[in-house]
Order: sequence, then structure tokens, then C-alpha cells
Amino acid sequence: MDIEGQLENLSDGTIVLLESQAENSMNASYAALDSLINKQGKIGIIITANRPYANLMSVYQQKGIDVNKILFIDCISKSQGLELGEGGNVLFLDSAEDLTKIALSIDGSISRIQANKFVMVDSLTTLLIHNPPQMLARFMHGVLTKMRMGNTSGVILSIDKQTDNEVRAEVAQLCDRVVKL
Amino acid sequence: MEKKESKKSQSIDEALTNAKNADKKGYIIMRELPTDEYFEETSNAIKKLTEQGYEGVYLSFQRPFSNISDSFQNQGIDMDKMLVIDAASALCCAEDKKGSDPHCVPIEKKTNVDELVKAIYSSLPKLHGKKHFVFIDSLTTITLYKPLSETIRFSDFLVKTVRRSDDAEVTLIFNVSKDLSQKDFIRDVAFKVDEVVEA
Repeated sequence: MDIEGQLENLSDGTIVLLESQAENSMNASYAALDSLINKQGKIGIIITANRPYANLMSVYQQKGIDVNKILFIDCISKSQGLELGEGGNVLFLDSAEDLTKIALSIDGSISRIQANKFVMVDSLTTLLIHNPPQMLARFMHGVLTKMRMGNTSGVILSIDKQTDNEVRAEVAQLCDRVVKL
Repeated sequence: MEKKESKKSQSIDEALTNAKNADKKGYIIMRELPTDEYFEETSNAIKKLTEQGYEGVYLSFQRPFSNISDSFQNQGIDMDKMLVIDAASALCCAEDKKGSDPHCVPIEKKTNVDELVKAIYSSLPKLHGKKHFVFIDSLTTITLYKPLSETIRFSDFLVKTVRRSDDAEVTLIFNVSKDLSQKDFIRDVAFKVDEVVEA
């Protein structure tokens, strides 16, 4: 079954670990966003440690993703000294290492958005570059627990076989489904 | 002295039959679950236990009470047959909206190992029937928040208490992901249990 098919019939509040090869990771995120935003009408909160906000806005628009339904939590632009750009749908955080601030931003965004929503983490593999495995696993446990309390759906992106085995195992067992692209 | 390996079986059904036939009141099982179907395997085991007349205490390190309760009810599991200790919410200092449900055992935020053990053993007398279970949903998740020494103390204390139990029949079940089952402390626990189930 293709990725759209795997994400199509998931009930609200379902959390998926979406694993792909590095070269397919953008396709995985497009497919997930197309399904969740364009087809299911959900609002997305995207935590990006991979690509800056400006770049994501541009590529998502080219792919026909409705970016008005996305709130970006950008953990990379500031730390890389990039031009922050303007937009009412972005929070720029200092770095991908500040897991406490990322968690608080996710909590705040989840409680502010009343509509049917999901959180996408892009990606587990990149967050591991910036954080010790044990701390990242604990952060993910906290975030996923709070998402479950609010019945918020989730997609955790990860690069197949390039994510620390123990972190991958801890996170995968917290998810409802593991989808490999 | 060489450690003797625990008995191995392939399914929870087989392990529960062995528990029934064992000439002791406390029986301890460790289940090594496929990581990618972890919660599904967990729900299946709870369904079997409750359908076989067990009542029990479910210690949840992985999910908050509201999610456990909704998921189990969707699976047709009778929540009246269990009490859930919501350690997941407590460990990350959050408050579950269904925390006051009578099936949820409240514990303090940032709870410690002694409180968890106390919550389990003060819940057991509230159960009906003669066959009881204590179900630990993940032995590794607690190590994200507590030192390894505390996790080992927690599992040792539970094992010893169940072995000494002279109340109803108690089956203690530890779940662990297959991908994490080779960790040293998990191997140590595996030597202390009566049976390891490779699901």
C-alpha cells in the first residue's frame, strides 16, 4: 500500500513513525502533508530541524500543500544565522538543542489550535545530531504523552537505519503504527 | 555460580497455562515484543487476561490513562477488570483529563520507585476474583526518567514481593521491546523471571 493509503484511514489521535530512505524523505513528508492537510483538512504543527522555514514554505507551495494550514516551529534558521523571513505562521527557536523550548512551543501550539490537528517532527534523525540519545528519547516520550492527552495525531519522520537503534526502539514502541516508505 | 536460564515460550496463552500449572502463587513472566507492533501486542495480552477471568493492575509508563482507556475500550476490553496507574503523565509532569476516573490510580508528579510499588500494592486488594495480574507496560521507558539503579530496584522489589505473596494468585508481567531486550539490566531481570515469552 502507498503512503497515502496507509495514512488515509487512521483515526484521530493516531501517531505514526514514518521511516524512509534519505533520498525519499522529502517525498515522505509531502505525501503525509498532502494526506493530512489537503485531504483530511487537519491543521499541522511542523517542528523542523532539517530545513529552514523559508525553504519549506517555498517547496510545500510548489507541491500544492496548503501552507495556510501549517504552523512551523523552526529550530534551525536562527542557529544557522539565516535570514528569518516574515510570516504569521512561524515560531523561530534558538536551536534544535533546546528541547525544553521546543516542548513548550509544541504544548502552546497544541492548546492554541482548537481545530483537528497533527504534529509532524522533521526529523528524529536530525534531532539526534543535536541532542544526546537518552535526552531525545525522553523528550519524545514527553511530547507524545501530551499529544495523546489532547488526542492530537502525529507523524514522526525518521531516516531508515540512520537513527540510533535505542532511540528508534523507544520511539517506535510509543507509536501506534510504523510505516516504511 | 552459573545463572539458570528461565523457561521460554512463544505465546502469552502458553505462559498463562504454565502459570496455572505451577505450584506457586506468584508467577513472573517477561514478554519480548516486536517493537513495531508493541501496543497491539500489549492490548492483545490484556484482552486475553481479562477474558480468562483475571483482574489486574496496569502500570503505564508509555501512555496516559485517557489513551489507554479509550484504546482498550475500542478493543472490547472490560475496564472494570483493571486499575491503571498513570505513570506516563506523572513522569512528564502532565495532568490527564480523565485522571479522576475510578479506574485510574492517581500518583504524584515526578513520582519515584517507592511510590509506584506502593501504588501497585495498595491497588491489588481492591481487585475482585482470585486471579490477579500486575502488568508493567515497559521496563525500559522508566529508565528515561530514573537512574538505572532505581529501575533495577523497582523490578527486584516487585519480583520479591510477588514471590512472597500469600493472597490471591498474582501473575507479574514485564513487557520489553525485542530491540532493547539485550540490554544488561533486562538480561538480569530475564534470569529472575519464571518464563520469557518471545511474542
